[in-house]
Amino acid sequence: MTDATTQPVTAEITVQSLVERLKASPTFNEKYAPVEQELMIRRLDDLTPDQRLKLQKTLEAENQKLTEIEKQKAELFEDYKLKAKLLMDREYKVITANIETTEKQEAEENLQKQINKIQ
Amino acid sequence: MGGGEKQQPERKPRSRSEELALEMAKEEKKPGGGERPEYGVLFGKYLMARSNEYKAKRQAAEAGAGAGSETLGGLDTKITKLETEFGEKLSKLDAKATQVKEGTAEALTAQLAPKPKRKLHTHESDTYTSSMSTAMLKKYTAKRSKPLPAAELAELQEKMKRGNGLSVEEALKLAKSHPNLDFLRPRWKCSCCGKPHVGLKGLERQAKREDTQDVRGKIRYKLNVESDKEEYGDGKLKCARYISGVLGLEKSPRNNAGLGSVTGGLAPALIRANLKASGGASAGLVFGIGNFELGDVLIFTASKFREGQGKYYGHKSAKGRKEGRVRFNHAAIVRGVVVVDGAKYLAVQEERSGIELNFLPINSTKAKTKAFAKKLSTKKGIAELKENPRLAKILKYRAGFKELIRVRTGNLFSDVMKNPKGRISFAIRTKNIQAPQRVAENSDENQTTQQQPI
Repeated sequence: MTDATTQPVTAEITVQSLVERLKASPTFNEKYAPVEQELMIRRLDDLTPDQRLKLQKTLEAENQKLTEIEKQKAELFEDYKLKAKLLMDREYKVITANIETTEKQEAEENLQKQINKIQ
Repeated sequence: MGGGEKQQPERKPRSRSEELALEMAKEEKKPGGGERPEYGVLFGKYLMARSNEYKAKRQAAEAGAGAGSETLGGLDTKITKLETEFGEKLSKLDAKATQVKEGTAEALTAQLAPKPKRKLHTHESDTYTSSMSTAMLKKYTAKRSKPLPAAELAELQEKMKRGNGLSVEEALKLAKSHPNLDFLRPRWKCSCCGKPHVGLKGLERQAKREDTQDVRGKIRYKLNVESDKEEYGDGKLKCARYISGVLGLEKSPRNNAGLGSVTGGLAPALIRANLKASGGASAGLVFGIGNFELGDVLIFTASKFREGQGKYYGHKSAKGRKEGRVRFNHAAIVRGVVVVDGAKYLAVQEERSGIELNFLPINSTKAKTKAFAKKLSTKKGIAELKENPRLAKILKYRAGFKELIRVRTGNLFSDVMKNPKGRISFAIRTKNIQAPQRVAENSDENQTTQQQPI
């Protein structure tokens, strides 16, 4: 007498979907040797629906956390790119302003010299 | 076989997961599981490009202004500072990611890795004691023990360090004053079965029995003796028989039967000999790893703790065989005290699965102990250690069995006075019960059959 909507979600978690999630998991790819990965995938068959759900949740949590960290890294990168641009632009303005001042001073000195000659 | 046709074993059809696993194994491993940008490298490239752009602009401006224009430095420093700052923040995020990965790996291993088989509690291992909770240990050590007056303690120390060792009464005084020695007291009951077990009084009683061996004046050290497989190669533990061999005790049917056990044979026999030699004044008992010396026979207690059950004194062996009231289940002999890199070690030889030569730290640091162990594991290290003549003699004994020469630091090899989980209970001094030494005898340790003067 159980309604279809009350069926546990765990029934829908297939081995196939778990394998795909595992293959996409950076931890699974980085921390385990191919042989270990193979053994772990083989063990998926023995998992109960609850255990599958737990595994799925672990992998989802990992994905969520790593995506968040990646996002923070991208933001940091953009932030520092902007900082670097502003820094160099400011430096350029300073140096061009300084060059202009030097040019003006030189021109004024030349003019003063010419005036002195005439006098 | 008759038909000559070999039947191929039926191949089990592969499950989907197995097929996927095989597919994956064929694929090339992609680190990180996907494309993830390397922000550190990207930022470096960006800075390089911007900085080149800036330099070009600056050069153009300077060229327009003429050679005399003033140059402004410091930008490189500022860029480096910016880059470092970025690198630091990025590595913090990387550390966060590593932490997430480690957590996930732990969870994945717990959920998917095959579970290791349960380790059996054997004579060599000490899984029960190591699994005991700190609370249980504290409960055990916080016993009602009354410290001895300093003068009295100093007197006992002096007897153990330089004298013939303590009498049973003196040893009990010490046991009452030390929380880790309460199991040696009379009427002490094991919380495992609620019964009293053999303590020091029990050993003394056994020593005074008429049928206990009298080994006084019969000890002739044969420190380099090998174990006699013919006599006790029956698969039983043979530590006590090996020690009686090292002590040079004559073989006789009675002797072999009596000294094959630590609690029932070796320890009472040595205590009896000490009592007789000193006119009842000393049983030759010595406590504390710092007080042990060449020739002392170390008595080990059986495993004292059992997970969830408090004190446990070897009621059952690893295979479930009942051991009755066995309190003391192992013996070893002190081969000497050696100093390596300023740290003191007790050289102990004993028979477990083979004749082992173990060095137990007396006053060493972790780093020094580790360094010593490392030296013992290499040929070069051993050659270096052999420059110490005392150590060279000891090492020569087991030269052919490098794997049996070790530095040991576990509970099984620590003094119960220092470590409540330690298994070395006490030692019995044997130097006073040796056979009278013959004059001008060659004391070369290589001659296993000759007497080794102590």
